[in-house]
Amino acid sequence: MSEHRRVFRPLVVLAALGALLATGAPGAAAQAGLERELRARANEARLTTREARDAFLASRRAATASLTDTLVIDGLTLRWPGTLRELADVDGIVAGIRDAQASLARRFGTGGTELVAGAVLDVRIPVQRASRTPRIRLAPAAERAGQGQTLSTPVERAAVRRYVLDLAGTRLRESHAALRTYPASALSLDESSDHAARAARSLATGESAPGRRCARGSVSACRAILTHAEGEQAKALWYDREDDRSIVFVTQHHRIARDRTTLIEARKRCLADGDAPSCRLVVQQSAPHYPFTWLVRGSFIAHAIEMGGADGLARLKADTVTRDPIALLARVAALPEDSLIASWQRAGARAVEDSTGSLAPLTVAALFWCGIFFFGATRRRPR
Amino acid sequence: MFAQILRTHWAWTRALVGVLALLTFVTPAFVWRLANLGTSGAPPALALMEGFAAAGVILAFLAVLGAFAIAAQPWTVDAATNHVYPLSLPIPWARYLAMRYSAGALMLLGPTLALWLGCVMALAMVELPDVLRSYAGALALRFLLASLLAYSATFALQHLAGRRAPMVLLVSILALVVVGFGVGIVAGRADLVDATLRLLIEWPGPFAIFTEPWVLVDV
Repeated sequence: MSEHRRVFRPLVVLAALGALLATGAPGAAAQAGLERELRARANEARLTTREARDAFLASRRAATASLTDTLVIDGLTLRWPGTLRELADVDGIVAGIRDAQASLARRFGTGGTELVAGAVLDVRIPVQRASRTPRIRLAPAAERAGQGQTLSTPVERAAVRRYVLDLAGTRLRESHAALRTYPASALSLDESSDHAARAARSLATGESAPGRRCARGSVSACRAILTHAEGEQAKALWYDREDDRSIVFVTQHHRIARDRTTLIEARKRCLADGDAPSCRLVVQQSAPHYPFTWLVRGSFIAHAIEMGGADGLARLKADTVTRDPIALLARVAALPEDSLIASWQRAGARAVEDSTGSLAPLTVAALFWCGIFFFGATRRRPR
Repeated sequence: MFAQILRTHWAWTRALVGVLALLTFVTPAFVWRLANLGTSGAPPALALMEGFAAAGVILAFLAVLGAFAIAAQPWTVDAATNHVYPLSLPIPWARYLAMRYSAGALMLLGPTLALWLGCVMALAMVELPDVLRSYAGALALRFLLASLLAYSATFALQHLAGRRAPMVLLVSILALVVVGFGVGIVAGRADLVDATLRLLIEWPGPFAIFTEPWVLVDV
């Protein structure tokens, strides 16, 4: 029996395998067919989705193309598509604009509100492909790059206020040639902005020794970094010899032309060994760059305008001859130039102190919550 | 009695406190070493500020993790005997908890002191420009407050939820995420989620200490 088994067992196994293959082949063929069908269905579904999405976008474009509703708020015209009410709270936008106008009127009188009078603001609903949070775009009718802003809905009143105050700053800066051509960040008339603190931090931590001296209160150093200059004059004003290594430290390779292997080697020597001639070589050959954020000058303009108040705006409007921005701003603020610079420097230092924040309120809040948690823990006693 | 509770707390958590103290001690120097690799000489002020900035994130993480362990360990030991020892004491439960809580809170002083020493040592290794100031004490105080807050939250959760504390915590986080984002997506009101988060992480919310800047050097 065992002999028979030895002979027949491989045959039985082979037969079983053959039977399996024979029954499996149609199964595999059926599976391939099913797969083809599923793939075709998926393609169809994908096409349908795309068509539906395109139709939705087309209807959205048509609905938002025309700005049918208009409202004039103290000389500022707001236009929005009729469909906006379905999506966002127009009242929130209007309230934000009124807040900004009230702030301008309080600080600069009628001259302040006139800064945004005549402006036409369009509210558009940008076509968004996959939007979880609907957004709107607020921009002047003749929008130039960077003047518009996209806001989440429901619109935050404070965000609109901030936007209108920024717009007022932009219009103010554009109203005078000396300010228009003075390289600086966009002027913000938002009194709660953190520009002053950021500017002061940039001064104190920049690679420019005059900047650091300015942060410590040197008026002449502040004047140097506020002065508009170019090329070698800029380097002489904004940097000291002692800054060479620091400048090289922050000068990235991309600022040095690729084929200048000598300079790259000099940079390495400067950073590794502090070799002064190598540092000087790199500094002389590299393109000069303003060692701070442009907010430094932006905050200086904002400070002078704030100091001047309503009369300052009138003086700015009346002045058509002054070309030097520092002289012009001193006139606006009705202060001698050095006094204005010193006052701006002190305001920046105060802003830094305020932004660091005090630990006292945090400590009180933390201890209060610890007490609450402990009280909660005592509410249950194990049995 | 408090001395006895303090002694047992120390016995149960000394290894954790030791490890936490070691980690907080080395963090400032470690972070600076990482940031300063590849350069030599005195770095500019901005590089110094940015170099030390990562320490805040690591320390906040250590504050939560360490405080969690220090609060959970003694409870676990008590729970293993069904709290027979504390329940047999001739004092009210709230008073026992106050002593247990205080003992744990005192343990947090070790890592805080180690952090302060670590900051002082790390700052001694670098040449601080005269425009920058060190805030070693303020950073250590922030760490202590954050640890204390995380410790208190864990302590409350552990004593309220008992053995189910990890599950309750997990479910709470999941619920917050699901409900928060669900409402945000369904109602198109992302501001609701933002508002809820702000209540928790902005002053005077319970976790404001974690979101305020943790700086070792600043202007």
